[in-house]
Amino acid sequence: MIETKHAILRHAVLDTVMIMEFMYFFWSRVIIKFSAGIILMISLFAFVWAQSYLEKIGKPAYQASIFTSKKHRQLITLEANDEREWQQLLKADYLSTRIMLISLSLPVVTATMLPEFIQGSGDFGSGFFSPHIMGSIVVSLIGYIFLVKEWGYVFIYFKIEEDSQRF
Amino acid sequence: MQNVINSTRKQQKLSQAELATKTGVTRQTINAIENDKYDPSLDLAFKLADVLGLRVDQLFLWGDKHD
Repeated sequence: MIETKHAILRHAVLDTVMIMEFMYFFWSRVIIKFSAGIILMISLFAFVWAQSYLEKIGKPAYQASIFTSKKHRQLITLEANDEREWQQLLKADYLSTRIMLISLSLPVVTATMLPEFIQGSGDFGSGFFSPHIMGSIVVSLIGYIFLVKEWGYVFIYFKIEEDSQRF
Repeated sequence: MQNVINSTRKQQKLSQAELATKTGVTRQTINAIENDKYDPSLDLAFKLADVLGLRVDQLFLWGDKHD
């Protein structure tokens, strides 16, 4: 049996570390260019390690590959011990995706407003907002969306599980 | 959907964990089913009936608590 809650939490922490490392990598390209290569290598190593670690957690009955035509086709990272947990994971996944889509409004608004802000700020703006910084802002916003999705998923699953055990 | 899993299980002196092991689910799932928080699939319903020695229609009663 998998400790589903622990697995989800571990998953979220690992994903957060990876996202933060990638965000740091992109920002460091602006701040310290020479260390970028090393940080990228560390990030890739962390990513590979995390993937192999997740595989070691176990192969649950309801885990299915998106490349196969099994009965329960779903994301590879969803792990469950039985049908109830599986349904809860699907519900949490669905709801966290809705939250993620709502949270997309922040990057969309930022992407719309930023060019206008740069134009309005004159020479200072065009110097300060270099392509590197713009790229880093975009990457940070993408990272933010993933983090919202990941932690939304964790909190929703924990809430659903708590509700199902209350009587 | 109401059920008589809790009383039947207690009659047979089975713990939730033991019933969970015999049916291949978690103890939390048995707990959720007993408390009407989760309706099991047909597959699991038949497994539960088999382990508890009852028919599915004896174990599960269709309708809400208020019916």
